[in-house]
Amino acid sequence: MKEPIISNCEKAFLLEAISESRRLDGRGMFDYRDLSIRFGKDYGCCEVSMGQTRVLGQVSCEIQQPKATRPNEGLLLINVGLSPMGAPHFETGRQSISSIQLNRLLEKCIKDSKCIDLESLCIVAEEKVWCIRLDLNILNHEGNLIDCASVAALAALSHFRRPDVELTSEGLIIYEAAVKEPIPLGIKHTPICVSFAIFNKGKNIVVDPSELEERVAEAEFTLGVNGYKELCGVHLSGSTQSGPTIVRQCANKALKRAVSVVALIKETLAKDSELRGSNTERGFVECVRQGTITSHGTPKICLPIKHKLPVETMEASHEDESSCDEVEVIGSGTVELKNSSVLATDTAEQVMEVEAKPKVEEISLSDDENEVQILSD
Amino acid sequence: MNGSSEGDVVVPGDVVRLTGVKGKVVLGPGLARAGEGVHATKCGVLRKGGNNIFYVDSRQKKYVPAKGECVLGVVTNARGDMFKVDIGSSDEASVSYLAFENATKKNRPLVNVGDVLFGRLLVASKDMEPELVCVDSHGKKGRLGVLPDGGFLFTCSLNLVRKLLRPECPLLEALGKQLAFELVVGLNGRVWLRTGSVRETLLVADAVLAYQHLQPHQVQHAVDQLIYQLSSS
Repeated sequence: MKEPIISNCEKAFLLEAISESRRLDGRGMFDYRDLSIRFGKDYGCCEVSMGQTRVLGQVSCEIQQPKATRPNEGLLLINVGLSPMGAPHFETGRQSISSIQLNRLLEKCIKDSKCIDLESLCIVAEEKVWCIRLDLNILNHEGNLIDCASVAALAALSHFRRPDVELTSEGLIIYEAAVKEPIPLGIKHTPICVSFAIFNKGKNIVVDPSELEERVAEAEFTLGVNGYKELCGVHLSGSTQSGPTIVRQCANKALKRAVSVVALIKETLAKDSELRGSNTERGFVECVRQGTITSHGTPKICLPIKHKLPVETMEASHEDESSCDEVEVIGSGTVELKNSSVLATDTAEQVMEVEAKPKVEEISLSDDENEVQILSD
Repeated sequence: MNGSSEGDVVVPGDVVRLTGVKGKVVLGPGLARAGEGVHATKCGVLRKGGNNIFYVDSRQKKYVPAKGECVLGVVTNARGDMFKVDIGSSDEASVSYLAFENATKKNRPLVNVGDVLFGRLLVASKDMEPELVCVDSHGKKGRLGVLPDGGFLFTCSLNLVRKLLRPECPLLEALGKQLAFELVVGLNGRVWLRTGSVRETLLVADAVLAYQHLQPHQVQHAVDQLIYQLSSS
């Protein structure tokens, strides 16, 4: 089936809305959709959803002969399968352009960056090595497959455990999970992809584009970054007249995003291992019971009743460098937002005073240089 | 208890008892005859309309073309004698270039790829591709034809469009008292909307989509919230 055509009025409307810094689903230009990661019962099985986009990742392992050029290293295979389950225009078997692009980006981000320690997967040099196979299935395509797939890949690889082996005089013994604890993969760093859609000759960027935004965008800029704020891959599809400022802005945002995503993955992994340790019910069935995995009953365009006013503009990019980080919690107490005219600037700013209960000491955050702008909800 | 009756939730295969009707019974969507009895072919609630019409009220997003319905389509191919229009069904519909007001062989209508058409289904059966016309039997356009620029097209479920097209729809009346907007509802689950600004369009589209889950008494509150949002910007 062919991809359904986008009407001219949808395109024109979307471009006009983006130029006014509005998005169709009510998000801000730099707001991400809700990311949730769920693990299945088996090791290495993980389902990631970003809004309505869903990807299922499964890692499996097998013993094989290594490559002749690298006799000491294990093998890592990544495969992204696009089936009609994800979108009606996806075809199994035939490698469409988007499927090739997705596969190649994930390879660049995960394999070429050498995030998995392949040498630890060697059992007998030149003869037997572990071949780790990562299969990603796109369950639903609502935009930004690259990001979702990369998070699923990383989460699945981090979750996976391979069986323990022992090389004896008789041969190779592979222990079952019940006999000897399986061993996790050696992950050196945690790369994920962050995508940006560029519109209006580089004047507007959005993060986490939805399907319509992706199709209408003139270019999509993907950055592979890891949890240590290092760059692992860069890719631009489409063409846009953008300069170095765009790249720098995107890079800053991508770094922040990578740190938070990696923290979320680690947190979810910790929760999952806790559940496994305490032998409670876990896996996808439990997620369905708890209502964390639900089927689609929502319309394609989700516009919340409350539309956010555009608060962040291109000129306010200095905010990124001076990261408006957080209030330091000195003690328990009350927080009061006061509208004071102490700082008279164009934008409405508020001075936040933290009152610690036992002490009288008041700490007010009103730095003249680093103006903390509290965004009203 | 043999069979489901009016007001019950049915799933495909359930035997349905049609009570309280003497004489001819009309089976609406979702019901099919099986020998002597009647069974449901869709999941939903069994309802009775009028005196002798029974149907299953189910939620559906995929459109199945039916003759006489007015639908919104996007032109995919505008060369030659027939334009191809995507109406969301399994086949693309076709429109003849003469099926527009004041169209003659010398005077071709201005239709480009990507335009949105509002047309009536002339032919719709499961064996043939559907055919649209943008003109009524008198040759007058009425409300059919190519829609102007500046609007926004979005999809929703078929239930919502039927709800919107009921006479005296509370949402549209409440909105119409406060805002100026143009709305075209296609029975294939597509809605075209145009207002004065992008923000208004987004908020009205939002209200229309939320209307699917709103009860009539909640409509006024939703519209009030919308107007508040607009005025507070």
